[in-house]
Amino acid sequence: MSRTDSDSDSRYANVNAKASVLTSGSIVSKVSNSSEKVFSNAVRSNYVRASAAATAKEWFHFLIFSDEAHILINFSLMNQNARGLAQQTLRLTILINQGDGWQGEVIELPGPEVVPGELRLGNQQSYFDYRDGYYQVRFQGSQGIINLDLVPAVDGVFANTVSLDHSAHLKWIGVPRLVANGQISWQGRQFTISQAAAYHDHNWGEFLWGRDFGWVWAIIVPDRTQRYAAVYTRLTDCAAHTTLSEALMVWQDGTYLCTFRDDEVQTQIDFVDTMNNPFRIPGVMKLAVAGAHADIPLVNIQATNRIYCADISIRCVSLAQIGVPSDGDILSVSVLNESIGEAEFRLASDTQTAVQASVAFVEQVQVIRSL
Amino acid sequence: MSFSQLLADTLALLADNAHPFYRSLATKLDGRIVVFEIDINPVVLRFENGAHFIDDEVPLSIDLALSTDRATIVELVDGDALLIDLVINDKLKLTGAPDSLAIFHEAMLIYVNALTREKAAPAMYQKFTGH
Repeated sequence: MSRTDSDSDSRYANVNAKASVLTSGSIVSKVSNSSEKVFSNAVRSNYVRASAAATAKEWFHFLIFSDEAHILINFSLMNQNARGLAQQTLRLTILINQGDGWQGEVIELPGPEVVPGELRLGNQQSYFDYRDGYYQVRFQGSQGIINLDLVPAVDGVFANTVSLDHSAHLKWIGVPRLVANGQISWQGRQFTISQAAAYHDHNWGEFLWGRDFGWVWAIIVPDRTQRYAAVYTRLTDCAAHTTLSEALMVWQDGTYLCTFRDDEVQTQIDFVDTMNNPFRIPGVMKLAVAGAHADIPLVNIQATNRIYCADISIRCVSLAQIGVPSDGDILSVSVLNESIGEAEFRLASDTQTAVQASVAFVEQVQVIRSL
Repeated sequence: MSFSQLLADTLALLADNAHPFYRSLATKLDGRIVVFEIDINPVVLRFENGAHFIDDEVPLSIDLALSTDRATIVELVDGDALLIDLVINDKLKLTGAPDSLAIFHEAMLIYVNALTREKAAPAMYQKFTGH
């Protein structure tokens, strides 16, 4: 789908006309109430669930965007059956892109300390821990050392339950902007993270990897001088032919601003570039999963509600893959495509038009069957 | 740990923990003889009546031979090289009739995918790599 400035301008005009029937006072009041509810729910609800259900999945996700590197850190808790006994397994996934390629690994953390109700997960050496208003993220292993502190800089959002397929569901909490500081040493490379923009979310639910669902998660993270953060979510069937739900959430100056939902959102995802032999972890997934190419997405999102109109264009430039064995079908693997790119973000209302160029991260899930 | 021991341990793990996948593997390779020549030492794998047998006596007739070295196996499993590149560059040689090659490739995918679901498999592999 191609868009022109005149198309956008006429859409903004429609929004402005709709918004103009409301007084500015009522707009502010509505947004303010919504924001407080979202913030308090998010803080209260962000703790380790550690459900005993056989299909329970839960993960804590951190993205850090510094001048030196883009970093993904994910603590993932799941229940696995071994010899008829349910075991909690905690995996730490680390991806690092320093502009000249990706590095990373999926590491099973031995002896995880899992305390439901706490906002801490890990073992003695490698963990995240939320205390005194910030997240400590620590890793110590043969691959390197990570020592990061992340301070939330905006209100979080507690999203409603989203259905993945007939019986599966997912809940999540997102904090779209944090400030990260610390040091990373990874396979011989060392770098300092200073006042870097970051993103965090916590997801939990009951589902089986490889079932008939997929998602696209796009994150726009502002730097220190920028005002807007955004999170886009799209839940689909496995083939991405049917959209189950879609939302775009926007924050302004550290405060939740608004959510565009379903019919208010139109998205076009194109694949204009292909990456040969993309970086994939765990390394064995290159052997286990057929295919040595990956498509790099170009994402265009248009969203309109009674008050605001948003346009987002994300051009991804590099991609890495995380392979997760499907729970049912032995020969299928869920592949999480993690792309970094640049976003152009535009938000308009009757009183303002904002344009921002930011770093962006896009995650897409696809299921690949080897035979 | 030798390649022979790694093969024995991982197949025993699948037979014990992941029997449907092991059965699928056994069905796929039933009656076929595969010889692995890893750093010259031969390892003979054959499946009969739903069970596997490993020894080092190479029979006169075999269905498929895979010849490579330990370092290449590590490259492959760690994702540092693609199977197709290793074959093209003669770092891993596969010899056999086309149908045997196709069946072996399918069996290898079942074997690898089954092991990615086993908690004990990484430790076995680490013993093989020595890391």
